[in-house]
This record gives sequence, C-alpha cells and structure tokens, in this order.
Amino acid sequence: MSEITVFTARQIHTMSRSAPSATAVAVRDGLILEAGTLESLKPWTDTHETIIDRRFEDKVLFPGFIDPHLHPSLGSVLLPSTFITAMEWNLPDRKVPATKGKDDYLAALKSAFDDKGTEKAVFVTWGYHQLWHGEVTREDLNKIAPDHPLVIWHRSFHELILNDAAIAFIDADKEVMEKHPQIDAEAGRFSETGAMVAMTGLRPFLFDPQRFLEGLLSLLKVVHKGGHTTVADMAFGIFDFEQEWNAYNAMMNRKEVPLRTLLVPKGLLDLDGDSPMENSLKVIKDLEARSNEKLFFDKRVKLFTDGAIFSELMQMQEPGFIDGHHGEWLMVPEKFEEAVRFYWNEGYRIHVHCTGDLGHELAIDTLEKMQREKPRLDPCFTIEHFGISTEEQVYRLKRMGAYVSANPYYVHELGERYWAKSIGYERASQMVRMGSLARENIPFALHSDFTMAPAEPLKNAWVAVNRLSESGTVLAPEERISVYQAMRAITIDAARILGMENSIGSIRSGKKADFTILDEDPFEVPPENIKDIRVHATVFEGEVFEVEE
Amino acid sequence: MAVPCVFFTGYLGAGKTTLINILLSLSTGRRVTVLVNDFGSINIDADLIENQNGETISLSNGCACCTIGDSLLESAEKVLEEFSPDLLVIEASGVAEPNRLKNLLAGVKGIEHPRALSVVNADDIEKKLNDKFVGKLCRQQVREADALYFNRYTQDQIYPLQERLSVFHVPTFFEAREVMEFILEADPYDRDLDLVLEKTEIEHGLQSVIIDCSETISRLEFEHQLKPLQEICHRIKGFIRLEEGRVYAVQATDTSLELTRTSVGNSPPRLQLVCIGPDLKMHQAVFDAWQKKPIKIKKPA
Repeated sequence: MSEITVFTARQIHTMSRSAPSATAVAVRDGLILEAGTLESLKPWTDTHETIIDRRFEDKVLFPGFIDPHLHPSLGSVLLPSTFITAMEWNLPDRKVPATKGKDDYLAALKSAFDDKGTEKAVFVTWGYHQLWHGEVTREDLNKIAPDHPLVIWHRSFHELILNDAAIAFIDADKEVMEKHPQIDAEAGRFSETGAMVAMTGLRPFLFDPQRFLEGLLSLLKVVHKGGHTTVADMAFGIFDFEQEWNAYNAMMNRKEVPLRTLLVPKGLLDLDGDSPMENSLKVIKDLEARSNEKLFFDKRVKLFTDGAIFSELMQMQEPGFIDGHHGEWLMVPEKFEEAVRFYWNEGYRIHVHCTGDLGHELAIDTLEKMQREKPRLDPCFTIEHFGISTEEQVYRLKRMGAYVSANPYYVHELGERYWAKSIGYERASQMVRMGSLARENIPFALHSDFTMAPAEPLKNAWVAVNRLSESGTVLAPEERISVYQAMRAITIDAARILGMENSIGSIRSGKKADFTILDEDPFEVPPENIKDIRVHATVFEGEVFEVEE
Repeated sequence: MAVPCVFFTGYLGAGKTTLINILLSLSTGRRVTVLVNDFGSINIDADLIENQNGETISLSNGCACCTIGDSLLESAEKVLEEFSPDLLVIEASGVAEPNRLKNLLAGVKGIEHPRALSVVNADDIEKKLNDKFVGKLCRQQVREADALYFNRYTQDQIYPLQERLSVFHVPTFFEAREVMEFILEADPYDRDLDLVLEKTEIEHGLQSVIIDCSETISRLEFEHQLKPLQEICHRIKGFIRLEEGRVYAVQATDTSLELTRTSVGNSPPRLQLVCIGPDLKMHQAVFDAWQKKPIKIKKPA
C-alpha cells in the first residue's frame, strides 16, 4: 500500500454541502481518503505512513474544474494560428491583449507577421471581426505581406480574408471568384458559402496531421492552465472519428497529461441523410469499445436543433430578428424527434445544442413527448449552450427533469454590441438566464465551448456572477447567480451533468484526488475580480502539475 | 461549357426522392448525375444497375447516383470531373433554403445558374405552413423556387394552393412527366419518357390514355369533342392537325384549352393526345364514344 499524502491549504472548498470547508485533505493512490484538518485526519495519518505536503498552505483548494463542453479538435486546428482578438485571451504560450479599432488591428497584424510570418506555408490569424476592427481588405493585407500567403480567419469562423499570395495558394477558380455572390474578389473577402470555397483550398494546410498534433499539444496546455482536470468533447467526430481518435489517443493517453476526457459523439453520422439510425448506433458502439481510463465514452450522444449563435443562425420565436432574417435548422424537426426517440429507447443520455428560443421549444416539446411515451425519472437530457430561452421554457425544463449546460460567455461578448442590433435589448440582455435556472433548482453547468470562449472556468464563473457586458454594464441583473452557484457549476454540478458525480466534482471520501489550486479565494475577492484569480496548479489523481508561468 | 444543374428542395416527405427514382430510371440518352444525401430511399430497378460501391451507383442508362458526403461543394466538383454529365441534379436536404444553396453552388466551377425545383406535398402543405417550427422555412422554399411541383394534390386544391402560396408567376407542375421535361429540357412528346412515366403515374393512382389523332379535324369540332374528356382528365396534352392543315400543340385541363400553332421542323410530332387522370378505366364509355368519331383511340393497357 502506498503512503498517504496530506495536502494542506489556507482554505479548501469541498463543494460538498454536508461538509463545505476544510484545511487539509488526505490522498492515497489517486483517491481522496477524506478532507478535514490535520487533527481530524489523525485516524488515517497515525495508522499509515504519511507525507504532509505544505506547498499549497497559503493557497485555496477546489475540486478539479470540469468543462463539460469543449472541442479539442477545433482547438487543435485553431491554436497554431496567431490570435488577434477584440477580447483578451490568456493562452499558456502567449497573452493576447484586447485589440480594438482598425489601426491597432493592422499594427498588431504587421508586428506578428514581421516576427514569424514566413515560418509556415500560410500565415493564419484568427479573431478578426469587422464590428471591432473595421473593414480590412486584401490591399491592407498585401501591404503587410506582399509575397507570402496571409489569411484572416474571422472570429465567427464564417468568413476568411485573403491576400493575393493566399488567393494564389488556394488555387480557386478565377471565374468562380468573380461570380460568386458571397465572394468579394476585390476585397479578398470570402463569406459564408464563399468561405467554403476558400476552405477547400486551405483544408490540407489547416488539417495537416502534424499541425493538428501540435495544436492538440497546445490545447492540452490551455486546458491545464484553466485549471481543468476533466473535460468532455461534446461533438466528438466533428471532423472525422478516426483522425480525432488517433490524435487524442496518442496525445492524451500519456501519463504527463493531467486530464481525463469524456467523448460524446454526434448522434447522427449525417444530420441530413436518411440512413437508418442503427447505422449510426453501430459506429458509436464500436467507438465505445475503445474506451480507456483517460479517454472514454459513456452512452451519450450529441444532437442539434438550430444553428450557431455567433452567426445569428439561431431559430427564434416571434418577433424574430430585427432585420427579419431566418435562422437555420441543423436537423429537420421530424428527424430530430426520431433521433431522440431512438436513443431514448436505447437508454442513452442525450445532449442537445439549442441557441434560439424556438430551438429550445423543439427540444422541450420532444422531451415532453418522450416522457409521455416512456417516462424516465432522470431523463439525462441536457440542453447545451442555453442561448436564448424564455422563463416559461425554464419551468418546463424543470417539470421534464432536464439539465442545462450553459455558455455564459455569450453574455459578455455578444450581449451588448452585437445583439442589441440583432434581437433587441430584452432578449439579448437575458441571454443564458442562469438566475432562472437557479431559482427553479435545475442542475446546471458552465462551459466554454472552446474555441468559442476562453477555456477558463473562472472567467465563465465571473460572467455568470456579474453579467458584465463588454462596456461594463450589467445585463439583466436578475439573472446573475451567486458565487457559490457558479463554483458548483464548474465542479459538482458539471460532474452531475456528465454522470460522473460519484467520482469527481467534490472533495469527499472515495472520489478521485483531483484538485485545482488557486492563489486567491473567489468567495473572498470582490466578484468583479474572480476572473483575475490565478490558477497555480492542478492535482490529478494525487499528482501535482504546476501551471507554467 | 457550363453543365446545367437542377436541385430539388422541399421539406421532408414532399416527394423529392420519388422524383429522383423516376429520373434515374429514364433512358433519355443524356448522362444525368444525381447527388443525394444517402442511398436509403433510392429505389432503382436492379436490372439497370451496372456498378455499385459505397458512394456511387452507375446505371446502364448512362446515369449515376452519388452520395454527397461531407461537402456538397467538393462532391459536386468531383462528380463533374468524374462523370462529365450532361446534367447535374441534386437532392437538397429538407432544411435547405434555395437561395443559400444557389450561393453554395456558385462555388462550383462548371455550374451556372442552378435552378431550384421546389417539391410541395399538397396534402400537408397547409399544415406545414402553419407549423411553429418549419412554417417560415417551407414558405421560403416555395418563394425562392424557380419552378414548383405539386405532389399528391386533388383537383380542387390547385387554384387555392397557388393563391395561398402566391406563386402564379412560377411554372407549376402537377405531374412527374412535366418535372422531367423541365429538368431535361426535353421534347415533351418523347415516347420513351412516356412509357416509364405511364408506369409511374399508375403507381401514383393516375392513369394515362393515349389517343391517336391522325385524322384532320375542324377546330370547333375538336373543342366540342374534347369536353367529355376534359371532365374526366386532369390534363390532356398532344398534337392534332386542324382543318387548314397546320399542326397544333394541345394543352388542356378540366377548365381550359390552349391550342398553339407549332412548326413541324425535321421530325414532325406524333399526332396523338395523352390524357392523364385518376380512374380513367372507369370512364371506358367516354373513350368508346370517341371511337365512333373519326378519331382513333388506343385503348388503355
């Protein structure tokens, strides 16, 4: 039997209601023996060989943070690019400041390009958005990079701006570029369906296996820096099952990686097609057989209702969008219902992407049908993102027994400037109404959907507690939640949404020894400062992993 | 040379796949390549299949059917290169919006001005237009169409539906035959086209009767004689020769008759009438009545 290690700390928040506070925790063989004080741990420490590890004694300890919804594969493709963004991003290998205005944007771009622009075949930068950075064109890019391919990847992922060398690189047909309604050949701008044309040419570069692996390594550092010990890939297979599995298994299964990852595959091989559900299930079952300790499946699937919120493609109930445009269904409602019913009857746990209130309506109506057909006391049905919903829908979610995994970051980045133009103040300000969830006692988690938001649980908690817009106004103060609720949402309630509450999420006997060590206490600092608390280290199954400076 | 392209939009259950199945079974002498989401509901006569692998079915009539896979852009380019078709037909997904799809197809080199054919299931379109989830989408699919095909309609629905959808300006088809003509830009009286469609229409509860009209007739006489036929048929089309010796194209419904002078050209059209309607067998007497006049009738098969 191994020896016991006791970690001491200024304060341990166990996130257990029965015993919320401690100052020491005993760990052995990757499991928690119990938490308490050095005195109360004596029955253990007097009986067995013990090491007292005091290195965290002036720090604050939490259960290891959990992000139940992010996309390692998206991160892997994105992270090798240069980030020039309107908001600040805290990445492990670089601190990205907030850049606003066209002049500052171009200056930052020039500086980055001059530094190492020609190192790779294409210089890719991500984060541009015309609302913050003005209208940047091919000519602007040509001045910075006259000979080398330079690509701006829009913040929303739905637009690309290319310089002349990049246009030559993608080898797009000239005639197609001239005539395409969503390609502005003069400005070098490829939008929506036009972006797909450019992507076809860029894909071999962006998805090059070596680049992907480098990106994945970078992503693992990002995730560690945020203080995570467990995450879930909530759309495994978004690009390609095999490529992703091989990369993850190679990178994430190593001892040096202090992370376990739950994989939730897309429930349909093909969202549009007619192929029988059994085909998708077979593929998923084959994948599930590959589960190992750090990379595993759990009879869960991901389905979709409406489109992406960053591109204003959510489906809205009346009165809809201010400009009258329509959102988009990612799955035909009938197919969605068929898929839910199929997996419900197979005993699966279902996660549903919902961004607009009409998307939520479809999900809730369908859940209600399932509860009538084949009732389940714990339906294990989770709304993912929880963009725009109504109070009435929250009451229905409660009655149907659903869970919610919310993306609070929308409130901060989109709440004000973007959505005040899109859907009006009322619905924009009340986006991601976590206060309503808390009032109804609906279990909910917070997630980042990295790369849509920074992979920083404390930042997400900060948004949920303060609901500060970009300019510092509070959006819908009634929908703020308490610090305690926010911290639960990144620990024990997130564990619950992933069905892992018996092994992670709080500090109590028998659970995995996963901790996140902070320099300061979210319960003590002014709420506006929660995002600035530094993650000092994580402990993964008893082993310490410090965050690099 | 740009390849003509037609795509079928329309909500789930409208009847897009049925059209695909009909199209693939025709021998028109043209190489038609069809892109579908998957082969699930594709139903092709086994005799026609030359070759089949996971993603492609090649047919002995020169047609091919391929799955779209991850990227419509890339699969469209791939099939244009691989098959060099005379015509590309795409089965869009049930949630596709015609204008957005046209934008997408603008990225494919070799296709120009794709045409949107919206398939409308007349049986449940009213319900769909009022559906809280897809009402707007269905209206958009109809509004943005270049042509419409009404499926499973009853005679009295046609006008009210067209009014409801405000689509009088768009060519509207009521039979698969007309859809095929639109897609193939074909000779409307292609005999091979007839044979296969006859079979299909019978499957859909419609029958067709072909009446030979090789004798010349006066206009008044023709209009008079047509009336009993108009009462029992949805549509009547064909060519006749009127008394002054000229050939006229005939287009008639139960309430209208249009005679258009036709230039004969190199291959004069066959002088006959094709009558399409439900339960024509019940009206044997009407066809028999024709036989007494100088118009010969081919009896229904």
